[in-house]
Amino acid sequence: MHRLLKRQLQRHFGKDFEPDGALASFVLAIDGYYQEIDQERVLLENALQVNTSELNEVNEKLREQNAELTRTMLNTLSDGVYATNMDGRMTFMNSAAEVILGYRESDLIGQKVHQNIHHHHPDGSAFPAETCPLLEVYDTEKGVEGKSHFINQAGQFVPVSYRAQPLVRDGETFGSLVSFQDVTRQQEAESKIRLQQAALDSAANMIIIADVQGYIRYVNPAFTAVTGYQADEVIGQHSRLLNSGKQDRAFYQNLWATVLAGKVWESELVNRRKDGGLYFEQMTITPIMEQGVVSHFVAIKRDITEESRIRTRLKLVSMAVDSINQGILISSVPLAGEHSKIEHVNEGFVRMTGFQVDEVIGRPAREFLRGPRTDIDKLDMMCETMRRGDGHSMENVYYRKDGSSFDVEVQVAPVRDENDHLTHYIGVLSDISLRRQAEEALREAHDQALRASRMKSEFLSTMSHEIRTPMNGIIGMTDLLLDTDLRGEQQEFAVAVRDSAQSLLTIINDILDFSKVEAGKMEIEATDCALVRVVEGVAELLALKAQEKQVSMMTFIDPSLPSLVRADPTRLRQVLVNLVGNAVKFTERGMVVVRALRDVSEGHLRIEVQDSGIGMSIQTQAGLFQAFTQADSSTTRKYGGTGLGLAISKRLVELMGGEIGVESEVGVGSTFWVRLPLIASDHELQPVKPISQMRDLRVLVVDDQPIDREILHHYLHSWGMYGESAVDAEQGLLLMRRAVEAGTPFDVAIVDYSMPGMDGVTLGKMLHDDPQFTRTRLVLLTAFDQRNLMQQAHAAGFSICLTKPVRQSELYDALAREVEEATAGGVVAVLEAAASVAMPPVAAKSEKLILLVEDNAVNQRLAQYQLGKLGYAVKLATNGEEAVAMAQTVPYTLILMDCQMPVMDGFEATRAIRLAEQGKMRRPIVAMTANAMQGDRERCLEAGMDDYLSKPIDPARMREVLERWVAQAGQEERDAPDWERLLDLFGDKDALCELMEVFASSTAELLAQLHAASEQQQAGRALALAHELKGASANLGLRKMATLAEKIERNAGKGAWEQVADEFDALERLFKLVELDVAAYRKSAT
Amino acid sequence: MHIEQIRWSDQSGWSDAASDADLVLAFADNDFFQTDECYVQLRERFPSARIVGCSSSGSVLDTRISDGDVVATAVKFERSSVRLAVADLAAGANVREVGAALMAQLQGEGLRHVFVLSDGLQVNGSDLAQGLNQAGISVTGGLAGDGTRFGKTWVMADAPARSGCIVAVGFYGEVAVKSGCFAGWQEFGAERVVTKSEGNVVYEIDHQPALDLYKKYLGEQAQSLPSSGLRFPLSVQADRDSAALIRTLLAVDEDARSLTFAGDVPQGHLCKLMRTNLDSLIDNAGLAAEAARPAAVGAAGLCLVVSCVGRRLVLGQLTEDELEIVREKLGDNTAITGFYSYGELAPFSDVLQCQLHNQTMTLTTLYE
Repeated sequence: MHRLLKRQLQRHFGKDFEPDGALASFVLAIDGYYQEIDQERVLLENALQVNTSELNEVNEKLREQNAELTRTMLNTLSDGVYATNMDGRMTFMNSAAEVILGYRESDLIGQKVHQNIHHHHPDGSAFPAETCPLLEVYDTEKGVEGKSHFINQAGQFVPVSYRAQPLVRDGETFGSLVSFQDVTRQQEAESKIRLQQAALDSAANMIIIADVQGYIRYVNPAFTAVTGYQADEVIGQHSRLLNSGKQDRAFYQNLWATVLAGKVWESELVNRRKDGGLYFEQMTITPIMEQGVVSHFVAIKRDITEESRIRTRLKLVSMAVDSINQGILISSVPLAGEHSKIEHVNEGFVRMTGFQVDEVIGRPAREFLRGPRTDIDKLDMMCETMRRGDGHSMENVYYRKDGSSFDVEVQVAPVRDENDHLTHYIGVLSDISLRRQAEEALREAHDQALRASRMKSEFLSTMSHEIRTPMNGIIGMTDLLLDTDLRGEQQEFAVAVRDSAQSLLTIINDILDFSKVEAGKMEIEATDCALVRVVEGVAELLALKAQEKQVSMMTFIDPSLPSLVRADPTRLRQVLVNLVGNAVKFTERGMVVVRALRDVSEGHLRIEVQDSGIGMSIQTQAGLFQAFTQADSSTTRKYGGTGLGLAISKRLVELMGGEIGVESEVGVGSTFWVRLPLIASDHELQPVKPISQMRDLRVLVVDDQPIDREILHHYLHSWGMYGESAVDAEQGLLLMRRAVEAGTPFDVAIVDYSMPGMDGVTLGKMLHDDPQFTRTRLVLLTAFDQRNLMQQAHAAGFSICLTKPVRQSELYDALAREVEEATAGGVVAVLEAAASVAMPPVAAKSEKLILLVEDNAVNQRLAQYQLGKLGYAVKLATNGEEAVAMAQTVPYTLILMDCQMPVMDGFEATRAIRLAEQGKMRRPIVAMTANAMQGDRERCLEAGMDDYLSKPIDPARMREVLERWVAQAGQEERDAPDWERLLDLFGDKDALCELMEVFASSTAELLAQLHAASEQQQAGRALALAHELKGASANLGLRKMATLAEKIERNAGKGAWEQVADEFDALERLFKLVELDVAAYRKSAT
Repeated sequence: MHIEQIRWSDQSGWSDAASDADLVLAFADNDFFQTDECYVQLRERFPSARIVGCSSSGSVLDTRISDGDVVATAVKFERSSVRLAVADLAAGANVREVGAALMAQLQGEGLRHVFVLSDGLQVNGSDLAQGLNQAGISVTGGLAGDGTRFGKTWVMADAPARSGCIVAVGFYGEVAVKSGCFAGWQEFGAERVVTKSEGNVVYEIDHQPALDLYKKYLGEQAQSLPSSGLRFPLSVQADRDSAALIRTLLAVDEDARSLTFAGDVPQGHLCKLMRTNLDSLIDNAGLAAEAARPAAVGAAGLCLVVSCVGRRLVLGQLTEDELEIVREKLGDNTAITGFYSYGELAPFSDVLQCQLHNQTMTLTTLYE
């Protein structure tokens, strides 16, 4: 019975209760059930236990399996893996981590990971745990990735890339899992790739990588530099974009076949740049295989454009070298003790010398080409130069193989390499035999030409002189003859002779000039030229003739033109004489006007000669300037002349850089014009400056000729004067009256003589007689020189008569005189006629003694007479030698020196005289020369002459020149002591005299010493002496002397001894005069 | 329908009844059932009926289980009819084909349900179930029992009961048939894999000898294997998603260390041990009744109970509780009969396919 049941029964029914009957079976049933329950319970408990232990076993096994599996998995990883707990202590590490870190898992389990393997940075700085990103995963739910360095057991830094995750269970982080890789090799690989990339990028050659189909995958910067394509423009494109079309299909087919078969292909080809330009390249294509199959191509290209160019050039040069006629020899630089050997010769050498190439190659050059006539010294010098490494050239005689010689020019040049080391010599041999001959011939011809030219010049100059001298004689004598008393017939004959001589001279001059021009010997001077003088001078020259023909001549020079221009006055005068002469010649009545104006074209001067002559037709004009043409033969007969005049004028004008032309109308007149470059001189003449009184002078012009009026008005206006004009006497009167009524009467009236109706003189009388016109001074203007007219004019009340052509200055002077002598009475006849030898004597100039040096008797007489007329006393020397002697004895005011004389010519004489002068008292020497050529003037000046006159001597010019030089000679500088002042200072005349004498003697002494010092160029001494002189002179008020002394002092200090010498001369001259003054004073004092 | 229920006992013989029933169902666990006499007497009483039955491991009449007597339920159908198909098992016969043939025989107009009683020891119930399923008709039934002796089973099919016989009863006409199938055992412990088995013989579970597993769990009671093995039926499923079938331990082989179950346990299937929960068993019986209950509560009909000997042994004195809960669920107007079998043929409540179950309460209700 079940215990429980039994107990229950006993409890409920008593201890000894025994069930019976039905109860028994009932109790049995219950008991049975209790038993069953118990059994059931036991069974179930057991089952439970068994089950639990079974499950635990399974769990264990699973866990182990899992752990095992995990471990195995983790250990198969190549990445290092470790796990930590929340403290950062390691709970697990796989074998890969062991390998990387060098620690065993057991070494690190339970250790703080960071402090063991991550505690420092590679640079040595500490790495605190707080800053380590790996330890951040505990706080975040995300993992971290990065790169860092772990420290292995050996203490080395291992570069790693890591990933760390938090380990989470049931939403809570309980640790971290870190996987890491040793990236050392990766870094190495990366830097290797970078290196390779850099190598590719920096390669000087172009590199293209393309895939197997030819599409470009990579190009390096060199590619861009050469082709102009940027990388992104070509990547993905097919490489055929570079094709230039210069290679055919077969070329490319071969290329592809080769590389696709896995072989390297190399060749040269032409490709196209981005800008379309073509370039040569040498290309190597290497296929890249991957697992036995071509995957890519690498093309390395070299731009060989430059190379090909060089190659082509080399080829050309080579061909050129071989094709020239000169021999080219290239030899090596010899080693010490050896000779230079021939390395190469060209075809030209072979031809020239006859030696074959193989005969000379490798042999020393000196073995060949020498022979008897070869200059060995020259050869040695050449070798020496070559050894030095310099280039050299020489002429010598070489010998061919067959023994014949030839003149040769050898040029050797060194060849250096890029380090400047001498590597070769190149010799160029030129056969100059022919050249020599040609040179000889040329020299001959040259000499001949020179000789011919010289002969021509000599001829011209000689002829010039030879012809002119007798001509001069004829004309001069004839003039003299005419001046004497001649009977009518004689007069006639003499006139005829003179005219013929004049004509002949003109013709000869023309011819000589013409031939001079043709020979190219005509030289044009460029000197200061006063237009006014030239033009007015020419007009004057021809005025007489004009007056004879009753043709009025006027000149006008535009006042705005520069007073001095650069031109050749002689030639200009020549041209004008020709033109004006023609104008006068061909005009029967009317007038001739010569104007000098500014030309319409800038920078040019225009000179016009206008006449109212016969005029010319167009056809006539056409041939005008040609030589030997006159208008027609009838003209020659009527008017004479050579026909050369205009031709010469034209050439002269052209030589002066100008143009000449004519405008003409038959029956009306002609205007010849000359246009010349207007070059103002740096100097200026003393301009006709209107002085203040002259301004606003009121002038009335009464003249029927419009041109006259025009000219006069121009001049008046330019001087600031007020002018009015009247066309005839009647109008003139009217204007005079009006002016008086207005209270502004005219100061001067210029009245032309020949006017229609009332003539000028009559008008003058009227005006003079009328009291209301007394203020107005009268000036008569006339075209003709008539003695009667002069007297008539003066009687009529004209104070001045001006003859046309009126000079600018004449007019001005006349007006000025009027103003000056407004109150003064008297009539001064100012008259300057031209060309007549009958000149009134000028105020006595008996002090002026002139030495005339002339060998020709006729010319002697001529000059003497002329000089006499001018009022000069003349002494004669017949040759240079005489002249020198005479010059030394007498202090002539001026010496007129003929140039061409026997024994000693003018130049030599002048030089001698100058030498004798030694810088003291230089006398003017004026040359008289028949050669009027440019060179002569220079010669004269060089010889020491001051000026020159051309023969035949123009009296007016002579007068001018003499006046100038005499005046200058007379114009001595004096340094006069101021006696009054000195007297005041010293009070006593005697004392003063004594002082002055002392001064004189001491100064003389000083001067002598100074002279010596300056001769010896002793600066110190000269300085001191000059200083003393200065002081002494200044004390006595001798300012000029003092100034000079000061100058000497300065220049001596500077060492300008030449200047010192000049100044000393001047000082001495002054002193001499002072000496004279002192003597004179003393005489006067006592 | 009109139902009469009689009982035969040794002492009193048949309780009186005679009718024009169409179908008589008889269940017994005594020798008398095996005699011709028993059939003759039943035939006398029910001349026009189809008489079927089988030996049992406990006969059910109303809510009482009995042994040593014969229980019979006579049914008169008013709107439906029945027909029988019988097969005798020849040696080496393909049970599946036999089952299919039986169903083919019964095929006909208005066939609603088939109820099968089969020999309990010579027939592989799983195979039979497969064969029966091929017709696509709902099938229920059971394998005849032989108490706890496992000696010989008998099946009566319009003839004296004999062994090796299978009878299929087809119900035609306006009859509503429902079934319920619930067990109430509880799985416990680890999921195991049948690593070696052959048919219904399991040699290894989880690579360990199958017998050792049971011995471990039975502990002391291992001595009473195989009957004590009834306490730990095996829950078998093809995979975790399939429905689990319960298999009863029938025999053990000490030498092979194998276990023989009352149904197939295919190799590779998952299995779990199950344990007893008496309350659960009873509750599940109630669930089965609920499943088989007609819509009309308290309708008059017949309930055929095919429960399992395994359940009886475990429930012990409480066995009738499961019948009482059926009565409770079905109401008083439903006649209950049936038997404790060596295997139950029934579909799961939500599946048409008939399966062989062990230690499961299956009910088939018929209502007109």
